[in-house]
Amino acid sequence: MKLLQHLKWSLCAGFLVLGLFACKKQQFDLLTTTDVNIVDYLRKSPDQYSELVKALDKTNISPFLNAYGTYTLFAPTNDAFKIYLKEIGKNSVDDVDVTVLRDLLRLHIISDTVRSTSFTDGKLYAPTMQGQFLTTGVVPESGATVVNRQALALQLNMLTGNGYVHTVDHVLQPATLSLAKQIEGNAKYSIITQALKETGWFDTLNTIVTADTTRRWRTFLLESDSVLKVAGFPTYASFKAKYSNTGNPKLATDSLNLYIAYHMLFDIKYIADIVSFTSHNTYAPQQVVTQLLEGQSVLLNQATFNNVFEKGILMNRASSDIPATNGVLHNLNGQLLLKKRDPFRVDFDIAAQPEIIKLTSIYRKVGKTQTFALGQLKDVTWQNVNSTPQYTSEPATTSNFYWWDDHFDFNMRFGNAAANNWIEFKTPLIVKGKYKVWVCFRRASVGQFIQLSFDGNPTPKLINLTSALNGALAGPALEATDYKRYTIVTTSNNYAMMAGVIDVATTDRHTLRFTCVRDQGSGANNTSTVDFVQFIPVDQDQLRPLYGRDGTILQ
Amino acid sequence: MTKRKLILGVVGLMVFSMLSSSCKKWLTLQPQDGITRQEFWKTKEQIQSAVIGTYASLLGDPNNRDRPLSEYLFLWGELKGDMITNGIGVTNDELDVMYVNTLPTNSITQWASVYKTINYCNTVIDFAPGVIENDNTLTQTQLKAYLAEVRALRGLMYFYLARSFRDVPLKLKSTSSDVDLIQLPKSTGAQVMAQVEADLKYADSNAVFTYGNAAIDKGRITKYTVKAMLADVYLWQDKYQEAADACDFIIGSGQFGLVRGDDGWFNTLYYKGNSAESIFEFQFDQQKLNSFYNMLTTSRARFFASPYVMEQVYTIDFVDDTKKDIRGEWGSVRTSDNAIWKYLGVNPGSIRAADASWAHWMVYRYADILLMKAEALNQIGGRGTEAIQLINTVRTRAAALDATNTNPDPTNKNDMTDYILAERARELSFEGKRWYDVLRNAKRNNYQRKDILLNMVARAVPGARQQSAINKYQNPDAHYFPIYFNELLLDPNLVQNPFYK
Repeated sequence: MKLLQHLKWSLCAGFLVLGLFACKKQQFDLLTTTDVNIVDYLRKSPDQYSELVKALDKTNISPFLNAYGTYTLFAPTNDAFKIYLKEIGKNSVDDVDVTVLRDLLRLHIISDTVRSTSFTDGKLYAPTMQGQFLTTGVVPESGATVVNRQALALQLNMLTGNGYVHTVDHVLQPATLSLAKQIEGNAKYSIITQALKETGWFDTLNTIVTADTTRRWRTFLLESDSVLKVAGFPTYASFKAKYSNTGNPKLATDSLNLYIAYHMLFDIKYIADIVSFTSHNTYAPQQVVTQLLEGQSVLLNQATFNNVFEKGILMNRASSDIPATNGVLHNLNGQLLLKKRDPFRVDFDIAAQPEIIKLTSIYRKVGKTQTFALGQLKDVTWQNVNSTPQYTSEPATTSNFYWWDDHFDFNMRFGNAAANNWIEFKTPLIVKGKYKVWVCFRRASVGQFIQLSFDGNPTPKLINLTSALNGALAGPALEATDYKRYTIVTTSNNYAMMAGVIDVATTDRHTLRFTCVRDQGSGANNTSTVDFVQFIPVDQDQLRPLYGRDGTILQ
Repeated sequence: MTKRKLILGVVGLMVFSMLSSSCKKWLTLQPQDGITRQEFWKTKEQIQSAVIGTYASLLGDPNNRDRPLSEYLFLWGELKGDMITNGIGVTNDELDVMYVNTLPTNSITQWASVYKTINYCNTVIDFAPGVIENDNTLTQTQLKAYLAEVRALRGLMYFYLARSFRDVPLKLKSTSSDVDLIQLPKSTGAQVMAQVEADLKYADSNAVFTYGNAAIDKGRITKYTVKAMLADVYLWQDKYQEAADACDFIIGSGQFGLVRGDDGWFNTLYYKGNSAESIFEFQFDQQKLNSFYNMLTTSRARFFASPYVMEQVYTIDFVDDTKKDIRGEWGSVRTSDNAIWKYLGVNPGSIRAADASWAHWMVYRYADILLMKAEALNQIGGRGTEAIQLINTVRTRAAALDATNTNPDPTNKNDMTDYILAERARELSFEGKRWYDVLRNAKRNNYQRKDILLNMVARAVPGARQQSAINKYQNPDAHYFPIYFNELLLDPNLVQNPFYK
């Protein structure tokens, strides 16, 4: 009996102990992080974002914006919404049409993480979910960031679990007018407006292509009436009289039509984008506008053609970067003209790269050489990082004869993954037209077969660095075999071989690539020794002038 | 009974022997492998080793947890300038500073390495005076000379901070334990500069002229070093007569001269270091290398000289290649790849090995003094011709090209300012001075020459960010770094620079 009593008590005590320890519910972490996502972050400060949260909920954007992913939200504060609602005469976001509101909010969201350090003077690199791009800039003095020229950033770079939140003091609003309507709406541009209408480009600039985003955006370079007046065109009539050669501006071949097309660039290019590239394609077929940033001045089409310097057209930065639903507008301080230029010959000395010219103790100093690593020459690039092309200024001997005594050598192999296969040069400016390409080189006893390509298009003939020209021939007879001599003194090793006829589509700088298609082994055997490359218009003399060691050119 | 007594006796003996022999160290709290402050500050030799320790701290963090100070000084002086461009290895933080996009989270704005040296200086200042009671051989003059060194060094550190951050906390007491940690508010730039001036003035009256060894004279602070610092500090504060006087003291001493611009010029001045031209250098050596080798060469180099340096700063004579500014090709730049040669070269054309990267960090040298004096004279007015002569001394040594001689009218202060600034860019390229030179000249007379700064940034940042950078620099607050976010967390009394709020 006593034993039973004992047992009872000890059992009780045992259960008590078990009860104390065993039944605690175990807590597992269900989330990998406790960081909140964007919408939850906004919910935490209702005094700042309650209106925004309400709008996000109403438009059904909250669910995905609070899910994992990469987003950037420009978050308007409650005050910002107050201003916006007052503007549109509504009392609360509940009164705003859902589709309008959704479109508006989607302008505030980018499907990428964009930190303020990647803001530029122009558009952000990714479009908003609404489709249009947002722009950024900085207010002088205060240094505050301005978004879309509409709102100031109050706080930048709040990192949440799924992206960044930038708080802004105004609701961002999309552009509502097309390029055409923007231009038409401003009385300063009456002549261009008229020209747009008569050439039919007005309709193109008035439509928004949403199906194909690559065709949605255009950039238009505007000339105001006052600029055209200075250029001698007080009225549209005088403007048309001068530029419309057929009298029917609707024709694509009419020069007024081309004039307008030349002012239209592909894609949406803010000034920040324009200054990032040296040339831009226009809607005038195969015509480009070139760009140069001089200090803070953006100059268009400043160039030297056939040794004649042409001053560029200054862009008016203050009244440029005007956004539209389908592009952006810029203002020019002068008249941008599409000029007909005759092709002229270009002797492209591939050794005369700007970085090499600066090496004054090496460049054209006989007996000097210098190798270059990938990245050191801004206009030359090649496939293999281990390859180091070499500049050589050759001592005068009877078997070598180079223009300016120098040449540029590069090693190439075919089918050898460890070795370099191609090298690419950016040419000087070449005017649109048809040219014969001559490679002036020194023949090697063992050497490469080279395929030239111009802007990615292979030329018809391979360059065989070992092949000898037919010594019995000379002049036009030799030219007929696609060889010629280019040196003042005839030598057995230096001559030129024609790679073919190329069609240069645009007046611009182009790329010329040498690709090895058959090699002859390693070491010195795979070195190509090139003096220079000639682009000679097909209708000009291909044989003259001749070139001398000291740089002389014998007509 | 006797048995019990015996046991008692044995136990008593054991206790006694335990107490008497083994337990000696139980009751002392002194560390076995180090020396405490109470044990330290006893002799003048100990002061000397503490002072030398402050110089050692300039070479880098012994635990390699932070960038060495000289790297910070290079980054602070050059990133915001227009003379370097980024290589493949550049970090995002570095790019952000170059593109005028510095955020408070940018690690380049960490000032800990500067305050570390300041704390070492403060420690000497706090405890060295007590030594005189223990060591009769220590004279007042000697004590003051030691204090002069550390106060000058502290002044120099605060001068860097005031130029880089403007308003910083002024910590003038040492921190040797957690109890000493105090959370200070910021002092204004003017207050910091007043402290710098006070420290340097004390050093000026107490520093020694020489330590009896040419190399030590360049590695420790002498009266001439103090004068050089004072000249720079006075120029920053627009006190031109005082700046000119400080320069005159150095020029008149006859202790310094320009290294002759012959074939051995580079080797003497930059490779060997401690030349007759030098006034104060951080003494890197075989045992303690600088961090510039990996930064400036190798396939992951972080910085190269900007193309602007050879094209516009030194210029190239395309007609006659014998005409060369010796400071350009093979002086500052290896022109074949635009590597920053100053810290890499042994001689023109021959490069250091990675384990010989001990080029000294130049703080002040004689050419700097001549150009500082020229700047002061130009501002004093009426002494432009004298200034031109000083500039010509520097130019002649370097065989500067005619193309860079703008022949300014000596009475035209603005033209002279541009000319002196350009000459400083040529002479002191990549020595961590460019940004401070530009800012000093721009901010003078209430930012009368803001154009210098804006033109520089227009040139230095990529076209797509140019307008943003210019607009930011319209605000003087943007010329100074933000306080690193972590410092704000640690010290709630600190207030962020308003531009970065």
